[in-house]
Amino acid sequence: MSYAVIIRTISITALLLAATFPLFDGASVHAQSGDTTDNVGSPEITSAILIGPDQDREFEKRAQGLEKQLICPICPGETLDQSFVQISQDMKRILREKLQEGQDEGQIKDFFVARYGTSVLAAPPRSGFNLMTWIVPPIGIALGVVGLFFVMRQMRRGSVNPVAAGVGGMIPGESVGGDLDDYLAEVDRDLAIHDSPGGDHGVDHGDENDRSSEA
Amino acid sequence: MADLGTMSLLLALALAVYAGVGSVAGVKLGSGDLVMSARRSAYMAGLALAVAVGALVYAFVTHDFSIEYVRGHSDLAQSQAYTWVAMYAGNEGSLLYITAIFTVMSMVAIYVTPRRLEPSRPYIIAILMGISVFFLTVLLTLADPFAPALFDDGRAIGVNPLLRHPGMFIHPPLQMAGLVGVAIPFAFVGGAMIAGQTRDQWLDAARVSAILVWATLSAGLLIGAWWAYTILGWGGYWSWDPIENVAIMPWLVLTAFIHSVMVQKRRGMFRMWNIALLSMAFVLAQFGLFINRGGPVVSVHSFGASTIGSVFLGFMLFSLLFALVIFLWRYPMLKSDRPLESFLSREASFLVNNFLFLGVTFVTLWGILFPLFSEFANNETVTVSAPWYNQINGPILLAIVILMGIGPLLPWRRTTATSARRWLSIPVGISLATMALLWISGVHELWAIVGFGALSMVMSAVMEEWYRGTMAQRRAGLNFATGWWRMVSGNRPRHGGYIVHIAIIALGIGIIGTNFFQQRADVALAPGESFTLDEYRVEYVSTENELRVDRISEWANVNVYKDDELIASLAPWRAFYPVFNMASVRASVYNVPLVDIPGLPSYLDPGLEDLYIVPSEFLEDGRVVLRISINPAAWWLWVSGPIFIFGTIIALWPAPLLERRTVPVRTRTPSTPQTASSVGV
Repeated sequence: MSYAVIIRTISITALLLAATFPLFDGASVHAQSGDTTDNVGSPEITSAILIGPDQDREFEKRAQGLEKQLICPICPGETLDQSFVQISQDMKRILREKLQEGQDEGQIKDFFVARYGTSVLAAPPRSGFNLMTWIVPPIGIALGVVGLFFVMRQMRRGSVNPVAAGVGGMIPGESVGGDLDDYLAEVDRDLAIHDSPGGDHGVDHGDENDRSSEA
Repeated sequence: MADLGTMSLLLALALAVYAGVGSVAGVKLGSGDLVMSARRSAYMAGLALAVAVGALVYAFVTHDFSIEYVRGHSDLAQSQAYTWVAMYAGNEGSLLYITAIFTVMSMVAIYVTPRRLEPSRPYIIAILMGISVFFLTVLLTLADPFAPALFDDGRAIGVNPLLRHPGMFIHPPLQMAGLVGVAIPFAFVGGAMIAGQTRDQWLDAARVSAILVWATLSAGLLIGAWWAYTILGWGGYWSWDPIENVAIMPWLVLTAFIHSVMVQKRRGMFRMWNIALLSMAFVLAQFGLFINRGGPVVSVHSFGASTIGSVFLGFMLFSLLFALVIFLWRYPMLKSDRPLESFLSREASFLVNNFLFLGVTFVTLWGILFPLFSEFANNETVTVSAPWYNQINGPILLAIVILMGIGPLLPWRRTTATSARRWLSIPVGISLATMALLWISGVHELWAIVGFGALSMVMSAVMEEWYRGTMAQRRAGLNFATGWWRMVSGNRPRHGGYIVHIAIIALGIGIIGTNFFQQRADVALAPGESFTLDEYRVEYVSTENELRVDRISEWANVNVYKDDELIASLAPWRAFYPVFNMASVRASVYNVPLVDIPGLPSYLDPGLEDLYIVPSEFLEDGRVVLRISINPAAWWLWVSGPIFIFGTIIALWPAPLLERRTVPVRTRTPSTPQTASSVGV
């Protein structure tokens, strides 16, 4: 039973790790007072991006929505709301100014695209070549649905495997001997009792399942 | 130490080559002794690699800066605990870790290979050792962790600040082990195919190893998310970054596999399909290694550009070819035992499940590749990031959740419309009621409502089955708890799976909560000032700082009030590392309890929302810039972890024989492995 031993060992280790994990949290670093008054941030960074207590929540919500759609140009892959570097702080300020001036999202995005290129957008625009990003997945999925339907239909017809049907090929079904078929039917009836939903308590709806497996 | 390490690597290479070549040659020459000695040399390769890892860890712990890799990823200032794990902080060391963990996992896999796979074992060894040999060759030629220091002035660079986090002890090892481990179920199948054991002989070995690897990956991903949540300081945990994507793709395909393998186990169907899934997972894992090791995609957490990338690309293409050749070779022998009987059956629902998981994988892969494609074909740099993935993958993930509420209620083979209606009416009803209730209570985010509705359907489907099952046991005279347990023991794979579904529900609640209802503000506060977000008033009290050799740390002490009552005093911090010119923050996360259970620390109370505070900047004038966010239901993201582990253990727990009451029935079924070997081969 080496399998059993290994599974048990892994399980117990995993449980122990899971149970003790909160203890690992290094946030237990304690605050200590020191003399250094060094400050790291450059002061001009944050002057204007902050929302004061008095600022409009709706406005802020729009601004934050835009922050999630723009990428910080020097930190690949990070959207503005994730990034704290100078340039993204500036961009956050600019987009708020433009929102305040009444520009809409499209205009603001265009402004940044003109400055930094298309890659400043967190998702490619839905036009031209980039339209492909957007339409390939739905087309792929739609084709997949059609394919899936045909695979399932083929599988219903006979002893065919899904992949074979998927590429259009079909392997002639190998018919099983009559004796075995009877036997299989019997086993399936047995199994149906255990396998139906709630099969572990098949007594409840045994009747229903039997009916379905005999059909 | 460097010499010991290099020698162990060379030894491991020799042993692995011998093991791989010897086991196949032994079979061809009919020499049992050769096969046996090859197998033992595979075990020895694992030991040699363990020694190499030990040597590198020892070099780190003793600050042996005469090794370039140690000099580059350790220093005297960092806390001692991190020197133990700094070995996988960089390219070479992590590659050594990958090689070692993979070879040790292979060792275990070879050792526990079930008896009925005996004819395949030499080929399984050959595949596993082939992969080890590849890693070892790369280690020895392109990424030697034991290379001598370029110069040794007694100074060292230290480990990247973002890696100094408790997550470091557990996320990278799990994540990397999961990613390379995908090769193990693949090796079982591949070996069996080569040996001609094309029935279901490989099924149990592949299923169990796939679930273990999948659980490892899941834990790695979840802990990675938690790490990102506390250290990156923007209040999120998943950003569809390329590296995250390449880690989730094999996970998605394995998820499809561990579902559809049950159809093969119970019904003898989908055989070829399952092999295809494992091959895909394996190739995607290789793709992940390639992207990780200096692939062409920019990411925040890759190891920087290196020439190794192209080598990994080559290996990935070779893996793809290898899998394809085996597949096509054995193609005619992999038919299903029986046809699909109905579109309304559990088999069909598993097929749809597979389709949806592959759909997410395909979309994700497209998202990774499109920027490259655009650069080559259109000469334009574009970014495909979170908004795109959310819009395209979101609906597919929702469909998966909805299927999770329907599929388990459909019986095997076929069902009648009436019985399906009987079973589904309660979950669908509860789902509609949940959505209505949410709308009435003022939640008007459409997708969030649909998402919660789908999650409640999954929950009620599980509960419906459990209730009926437990009631049946109760009629046999058991109480609720033992009745439930008896029911679970009766079919561990299924009920373990349901527990995992409950973990996914918790995860889903967290994802919807944080994605749709997060509130956030960046504010500058002077000491004594406060800011009110929603119903929380955050007061900035004071700053404390500490100067260390390698960093300047600053804490912002803040008090949080709700209804003018102090609910928490928090001290989030920010540290600046001059050597790296890099800051690292640690958010303070206060879980506002939904139910306050007396006597428990707040992080264990079921959470309503997280109050997440991080100091993003300390200004010259004494003010501090705080990012304050309210992340609804974030607690549920993390609680899914333990539930998930529990469910996986239930599904895999080797049941005592007496409790396997279905065994006598199953062993008579030709579709099960026990008899398959006698019927099929």
